[in-house]
Amino acid sequence: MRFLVGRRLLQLVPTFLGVTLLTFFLLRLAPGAPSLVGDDGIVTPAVQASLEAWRELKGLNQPLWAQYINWLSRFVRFDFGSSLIDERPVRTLIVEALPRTLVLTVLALIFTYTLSIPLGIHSAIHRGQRSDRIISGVLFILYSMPSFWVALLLVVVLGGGAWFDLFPIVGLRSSNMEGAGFFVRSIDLIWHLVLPVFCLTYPSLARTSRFQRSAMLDVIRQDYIRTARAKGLTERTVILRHALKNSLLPILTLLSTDLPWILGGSVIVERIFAIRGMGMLTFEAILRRDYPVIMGVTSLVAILTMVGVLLGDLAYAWIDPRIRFERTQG
Amino acid sequence: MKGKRDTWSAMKSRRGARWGVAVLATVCGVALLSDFIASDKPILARIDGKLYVLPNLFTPVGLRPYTINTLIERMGKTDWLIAPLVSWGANEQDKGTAPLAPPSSRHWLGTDTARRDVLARMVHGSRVSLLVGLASVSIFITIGTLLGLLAGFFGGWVDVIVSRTVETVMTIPVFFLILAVMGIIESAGIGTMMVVIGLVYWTRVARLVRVETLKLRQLGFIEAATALGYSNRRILLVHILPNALGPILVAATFGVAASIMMEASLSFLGFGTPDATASWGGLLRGAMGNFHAWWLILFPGLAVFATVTSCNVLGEAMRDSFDPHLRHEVE
Repeated sequence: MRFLVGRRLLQLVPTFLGVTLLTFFLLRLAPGAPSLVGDDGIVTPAVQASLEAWRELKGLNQPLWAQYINWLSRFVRFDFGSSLIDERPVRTLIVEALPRTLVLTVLALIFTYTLSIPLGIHSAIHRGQRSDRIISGVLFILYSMPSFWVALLLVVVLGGGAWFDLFPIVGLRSSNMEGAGFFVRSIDLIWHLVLPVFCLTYPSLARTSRFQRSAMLDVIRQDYIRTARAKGLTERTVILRHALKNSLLPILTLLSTDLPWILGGSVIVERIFAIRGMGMLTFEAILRRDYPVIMGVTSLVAILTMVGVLLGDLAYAWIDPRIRFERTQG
Repeated sequence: MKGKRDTWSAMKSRRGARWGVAVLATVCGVALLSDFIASDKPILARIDGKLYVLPNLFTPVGLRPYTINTLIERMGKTDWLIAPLVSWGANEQDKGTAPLAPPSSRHWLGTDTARRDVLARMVHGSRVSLLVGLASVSIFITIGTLLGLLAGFFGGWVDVIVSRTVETVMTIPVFFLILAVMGIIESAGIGTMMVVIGLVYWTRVARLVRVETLKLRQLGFIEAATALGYSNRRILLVHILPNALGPILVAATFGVAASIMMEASLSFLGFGTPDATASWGGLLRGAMGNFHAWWLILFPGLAVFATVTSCNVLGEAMRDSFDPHLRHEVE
């Protein structure tokens, strides 16, 4: 097991280098550059001169590979550089934005799994019956609805657009909350979270519940379930006591693929609800061609993707000794 | 392997699949005929004794300064014109209407922030969606199939390189990357979008084709082909590729849905189509901050939803009919 972990960890290094190299060069070779020129677009000689000095100062005039090596050597020391626009360290920007995204994605994740696991189990037990078909159909339709469309519709209908003004649609906090107590502030936060969390939850219901459904179906077909039924246990006991636990194992690995999303958040939902989380941070960095911020966020999310895949594999190996054996042999 | 006819009849028997085909056919029809459905020039007209044929397509010099509405105003007794169903151009600004006007008899689905007809823009926007959908899918299916075939067939270092590259590209936060490239390239437009989506989405296809090739390579008929002395190229293209076509087709259908969704998201965020090019996502962008304009949100979003759902339904139906074992299982 330890051998497996070690080898997999080593394998992450080339992947990480590949990802960052690709991203770095794609970003920098794409035509377009950060500039200090205003919207009027007039480049006076003075502006040109100071722009040159600024590029020199920021190291943007060095050859690209040197810049990459420079970036990489600082990244491994957790120094992500600082924003080209407001000079603040990228790390500070991320630390500021991260909690807002985490609140959204962790809640969405909890709702997704607590809803889709029972739904998936129900569908598996009632396979092919009407309730299974209805659940699958509804979730499939939800899955196909673009989240920006749903978010905008919710704003129109419930967020004071054209009909009801039930939920706030800007940010995560009301402006008059300065002196309010903890309880009032929490209620206010929950109020702000309802719509964005819904928008993050509904699209993944289909995938997760389908996964649970097929996992449950696999378990139900096993011999030991037939034995349990044969010895006269009620269907309820068979499912809850014998089948449930084993059917939950595969979904653990699905969780690991959600890891990058938990930190990266959703650009679209954060943009519509004006939440200054990781998605918005990236969005604004792209708008301003703020390379260090883009590189910082992308690399972090890439690392989490790799860690997620690794954790998923390890979870599988941990759960299923057969896989562990094969891997160590091969 | 099942026969083609079986596959088709299995697919057609699903009600969802029929609906999917119907919706997609409609969208394709609208995209092809958009100049005949919505245009600010007539289809056929006689103005000042002169006959104009298809000015909506060719825009003759004499009619250039006019729109259907200004033409009607200056028409003489013997003049006549046949207008398209929606007599507004995708970029025509209607000075007689307020910006963000709700649906009315003048503008059936209302107007956007620049007083343009929403329906006309939706009709022309279908072109962008389909074009980006089909073009990026062709790109990534080609790349993915090629690399998958090579990796699966030759194995060894070719396989190592391809598999490692797939792993690397799969690790990149795709949405951030596409967004960043679209945002940084100054003159990014529909073409850039197709290429970028195409270059990023090929990994799944490559994996799929690789596995399929590995499976096929071990079957007797490939061994026979090798024994007959066929060239590798012939074996790959004539014997392996056709047998792997089913899964590729399924992936392509889902891919169209994903690309259309991506295009709409990019355009919605302002990184996709420029303002002059009508697109569904672009229309939705106009609703940002104008949340009372429900018509600007409901209708274009509905178009995206219907198209994407149809592709997904079709993909599911195809997957089920190609391989009954896969029925209702996660990819």
